[in-house]
Amino acid sequence: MKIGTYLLWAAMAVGTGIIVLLGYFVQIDQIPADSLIGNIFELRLLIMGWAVLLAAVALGIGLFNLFLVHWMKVSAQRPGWKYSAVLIVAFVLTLLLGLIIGPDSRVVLFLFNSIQLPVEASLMALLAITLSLAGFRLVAQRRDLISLVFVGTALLVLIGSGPGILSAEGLFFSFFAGLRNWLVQVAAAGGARGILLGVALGSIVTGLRVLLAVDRPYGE
Amino acid sequence: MAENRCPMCSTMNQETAEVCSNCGARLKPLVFETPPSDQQEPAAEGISPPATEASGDGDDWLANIRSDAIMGSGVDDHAAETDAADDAAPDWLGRLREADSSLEEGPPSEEIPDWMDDFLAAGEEVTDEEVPEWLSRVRERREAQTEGQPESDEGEDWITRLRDDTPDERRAGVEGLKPSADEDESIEQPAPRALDPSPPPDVPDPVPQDEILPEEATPSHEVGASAPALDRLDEDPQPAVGEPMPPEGEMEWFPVPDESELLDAKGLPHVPALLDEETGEKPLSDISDLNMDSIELPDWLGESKSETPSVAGEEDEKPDLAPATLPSWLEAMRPVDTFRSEIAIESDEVQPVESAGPLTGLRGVLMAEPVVAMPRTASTAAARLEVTERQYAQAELLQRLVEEEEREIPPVRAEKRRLPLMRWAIALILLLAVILPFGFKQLGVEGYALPSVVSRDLAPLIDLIGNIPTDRPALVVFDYTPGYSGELDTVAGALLEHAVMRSLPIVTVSTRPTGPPLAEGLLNKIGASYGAVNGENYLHLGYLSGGPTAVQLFAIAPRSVVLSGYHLPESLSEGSVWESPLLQGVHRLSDFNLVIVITAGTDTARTWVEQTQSWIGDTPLVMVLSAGAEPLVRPYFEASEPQVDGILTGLPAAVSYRQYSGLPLDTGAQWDAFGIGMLAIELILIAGGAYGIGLWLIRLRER
Repeated sequence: MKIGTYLLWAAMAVGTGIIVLLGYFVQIDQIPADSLIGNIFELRLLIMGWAVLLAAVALGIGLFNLFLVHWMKVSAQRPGWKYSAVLIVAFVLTLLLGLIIGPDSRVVLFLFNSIQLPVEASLMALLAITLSLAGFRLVAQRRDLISLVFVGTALLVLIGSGPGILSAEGLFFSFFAGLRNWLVQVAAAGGARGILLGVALGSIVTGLRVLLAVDRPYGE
Repeated sequence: MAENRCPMCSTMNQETAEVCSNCGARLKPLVFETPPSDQQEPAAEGISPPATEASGDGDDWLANIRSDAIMGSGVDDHAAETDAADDAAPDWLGRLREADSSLEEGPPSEEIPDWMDDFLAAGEEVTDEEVPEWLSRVRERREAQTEGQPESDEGEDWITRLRDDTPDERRAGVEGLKPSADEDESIEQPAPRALDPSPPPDVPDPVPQDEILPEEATPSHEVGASAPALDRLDEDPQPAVGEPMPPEGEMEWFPVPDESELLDAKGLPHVPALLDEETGEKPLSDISDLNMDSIELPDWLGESKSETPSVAGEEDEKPDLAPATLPSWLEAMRPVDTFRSEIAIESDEVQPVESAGPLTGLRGVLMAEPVVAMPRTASTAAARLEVTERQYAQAELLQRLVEEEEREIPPVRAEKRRLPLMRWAIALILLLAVILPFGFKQLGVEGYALPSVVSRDLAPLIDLIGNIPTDRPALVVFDYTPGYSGELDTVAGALLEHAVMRSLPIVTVSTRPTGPPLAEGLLNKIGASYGAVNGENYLHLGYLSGGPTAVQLFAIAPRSVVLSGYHLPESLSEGSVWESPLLQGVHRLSDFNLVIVITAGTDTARTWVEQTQSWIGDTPLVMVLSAGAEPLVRPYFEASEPQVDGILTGLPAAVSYRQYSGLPLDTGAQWDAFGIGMLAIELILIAGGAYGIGLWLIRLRER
């Protein structure tokens, strides 16, 4: 790669990143629209609008790729092609309905409330059954310390969250309710904060590396 | 003055010098000059010795004899054989026949010579009466001259016998071939090319002496053994090896001149005979020109020669030559250890017998197997590889990885299909736990009581929603999938119902494609109770594409991001959603009175918190979360400068919200189902623990 081309891409990436980053530290109300910073801010909005368009295009490409993959699967009669055929039929039907009568028409809402909503809710209900079975097998077959701690914590939170404890009064019930709150708001929140701090530090480092052109995901 | 350059040592010698003054090599080859044409004529007229034609057309005389004999006898049935024999007959024999025919005693051209009769004698007996007169005379003469000499009956076996002859026999043969003194003028000597001791320039390096003569390695023997051509030349100088030659008995009439006399007469250089004419035992070393000492030999050959016993008087015959000397640097480079000057060859009995291959059963075969196939140890010790501990550990790790990859994975046994009874049992328990509470009222069973303990986070939230001004709409973000609608619709329903009850305008948006229909369904349900109408009390902006970037852009300039709404009233279907009276005065996110994010995912909650922080201003941000997302969002709520102003999580909080906000408590069956289901799961876990402990105790007892 030529050095000039590399510098061009790096300059564009770094400049765009800095312009977008400055928007977090600038008070919009205090910037005159006809000033240099105001123009830069307008440029920032333009760049972000391009990013939104690119995301929409990426979504379209993803849908096209999904359709093409399943179309090839049906054409080659590979195993499971019948499910792909159902997906293609549903895909085409939904797309045609959305393009012709609109996504907010009564027919589309009826299809959504009658098919998609019950199906996804049922999947979530199956998740509850699966988790219950996994917990049973865990305590029945794996009797190590970590498993006992894991299942014991889940059991205490369930007990403390249930109506039987919350609706009752007394020291015993208050103990479980307080224990549940401590586990959720102290122990779990402490771990969550650690995760958030790690994510924040990683995001900062990654952003700085891109801004300093150390990492060039846009290519060499 | 012209000079001759020695072909051996390149020393310049005088033109007349015959041998090199430096190395003694012969400068002039011992080649007889081509005799003049007048000397060849007598040969054509009289006796033409075979030797004169040996080089070229020496086979013609035999062919002529045969042809003449056949023509004279008139035997037609032998014509084919004669024709065939003509091709193979040597020319010198034919010319000899011509010479014989010219002699007085010679047979006429029509007759077959007597030695040819030997071939025919096997078939028929020839009586004395049938023998012609000339043949009788020839036979008588032959008997008189060759009495006591062995006769040769087989014309084609004379070469074989000649090779097997003893030196006496060879000497006799040479004597028999000697021309007489009166005939030496007409005899041409064969070209003694093999007698020239000076090697030509292209002479290859001499073969090691040990390999040629393992036992008798004297120089004289060496010459005699290594120069078979000289021997054969002495024996039969006429034809080349391989050419047919008449039997010796038949050549008695051929006069063989004395070689020395012949050469002296011609003034040519004298070359003594390789064998003494009288005894035949004269060593070849006596021939000065053939003395191998005059030839430069490599050192290794000289060493072997010096080690072998020499013939007495040989040292006196050596020319005065200085041994070859090597420069010191070349001497130093000369391989000493790798070259064996003397090779001890074992006797045949000791040598192993070849056991394989085409040479099976032979002794003395060079054994290639010990050199090629048998394992050998290195002649030099290999340097020890220096390996550090770290390298050794890495090598072991690599080896373990390779072994792990090469390990054969046992085939997975196809387990028997078993009915998932445990799964079905748990599913049945949970299903009954959720369904049964809906019949508690019909069954007269009292359900769970409402929560008596209220979270400390709930009161501020109720106060916030209850005190929000209604002049500007509240933005509600529906960022959850339909799978979470069972939980979040109940939790968010309490909050939204409170807002609708207070006539707070609601504008919805979603970053998920399934968000707008969920929002329409929930608000339509709530609005039906409070007379809220789409377009007047609530409005859907629709799907916000672009992820976090779109959220930030929406926070900065919502009008530039969302151009068309979702499920808009007919009054707004033709225009833009921003023309709605509900959105008047809304140009950025901070223009909303309240932002409520309903989500089940922590990433979505963080996106809305982080991307809108700079532009949300003083607008409160409230999170309605699934129970699983609460821990990751709570840090934003419990910070010293909270970025989230309110949080509502789970069904108990929603029931409490309804209970303490004055909303109708229509969640009785749901609350009971939630409580029974939680209890069922707790019992399942406890049962699993009990089963595991019991199993452990049983196994412990068995041990």
